[in-house]
Amino acid sequence: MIYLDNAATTYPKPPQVYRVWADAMRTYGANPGRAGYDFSSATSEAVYTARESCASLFGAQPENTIFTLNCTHALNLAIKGIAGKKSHYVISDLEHNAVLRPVHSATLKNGGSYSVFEVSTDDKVTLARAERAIRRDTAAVICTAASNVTGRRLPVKGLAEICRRHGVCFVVDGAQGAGALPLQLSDGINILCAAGHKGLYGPMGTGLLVTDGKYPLDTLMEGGTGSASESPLQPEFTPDRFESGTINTAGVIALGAGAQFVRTKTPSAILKHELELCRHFCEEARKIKGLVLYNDITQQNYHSYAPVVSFNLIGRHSSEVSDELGKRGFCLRGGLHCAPLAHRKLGTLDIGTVRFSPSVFTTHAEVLALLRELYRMASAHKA
Amino acid sequence: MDSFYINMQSATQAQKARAVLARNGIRSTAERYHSRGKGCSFRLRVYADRGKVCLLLAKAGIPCDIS
Repeated sequence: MIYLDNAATTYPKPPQVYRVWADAMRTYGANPGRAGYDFSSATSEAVYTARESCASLFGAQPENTIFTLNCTHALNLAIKGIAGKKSHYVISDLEHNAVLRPVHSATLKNGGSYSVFEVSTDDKVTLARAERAIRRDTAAVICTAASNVTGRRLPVKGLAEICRRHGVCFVVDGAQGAGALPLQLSDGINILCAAGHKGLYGPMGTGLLVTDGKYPLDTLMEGGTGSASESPLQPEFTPDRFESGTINTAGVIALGAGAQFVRTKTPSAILKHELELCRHFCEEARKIKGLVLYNDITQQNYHSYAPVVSFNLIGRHSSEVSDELGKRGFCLRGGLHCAPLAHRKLGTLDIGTVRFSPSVFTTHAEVLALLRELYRMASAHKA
Repeated sequence: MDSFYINMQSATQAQKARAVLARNGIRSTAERYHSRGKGCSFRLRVYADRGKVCLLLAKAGIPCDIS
């Protein structure tokens, strides 16, 4: 099996993540922050180490690094937590349903609205369009760091500067960027949401909300936090405010090991390796007759992309192609990738795309094997 | 050396304070306890000079609420 669906979740994980995860189930089996005995304290300490490891990747304070179930959970916290009555949001036309749906839902509930700006291949044009979409009642601009369909990166620093000037909260969906792209709170991101199980190489069922603390958020749920427990009010301080109930302890400890792996490798080295694999794929794939690329990664445009490539075999539905690849031992995802806005933009809403997404563990030999298979499939279809 | 306690608002803050002090060679332990009027709470038991400890914690943005 050759796994090339790392934009959905990375596989395999680094060996230390498996080791730490399994070990945490035994060694850190007490509930963290809920008791005073040593077993619980040791678990609290391990959770804190993981929190610190994740925080340092994004230049955040550990207490402002909140563990969530996944990136979608973090985005819901940010989007619904920032909403006032009749709030207005600004989003891009590359957003995943993890942004679009909570924004849509929040505006239906609070009587607000949202504007969608078009991402251009020219960052200056994108920034001008985003700024034009901001209104007096805009509560937040929420943008993906990079499209999960085409890998197209948004000008995060420029958007952050616009939001700062307008006094608007800037939320970044880092599902496809965290762990590879240079995403730092010091660049003006107010809230960064990330999946733990993608570029941070943690287990599924883990995610992060990282905040600079400038925009207080309302809670999605309340409950026991192990702190200030005589009060019926949810604590104001983080991370307790957003971590009611027992967290996925073994999962977040393993996520910490994943974050540490990324820190050691460095996000820039990981990005370079993965983009190089994408360039290799694009360079050869564009020679295959009957294959259409929706983004073409070359050495000249590395700065514009996250390591994701979408393609189709002409005349075939993307799911049909990914299913056939699956039967031949290649794991790639077909369909809409939960991003209908991006597919509307690409003109692929009816057929979706097949998505190639490598990880730090993917090799050029695996890319070559996929290309050979695609060549065979495209030739057979023509014949 | 005698020890003293510093109140912490959460387990995370207590762990952060412990980590800050450890990086400066100061031994401390995070403890959970029941505080009248607050319920479950956390504190740090520290074995070092109060002035130095409070300065280090202040630099990390942690209030030095000595109990």
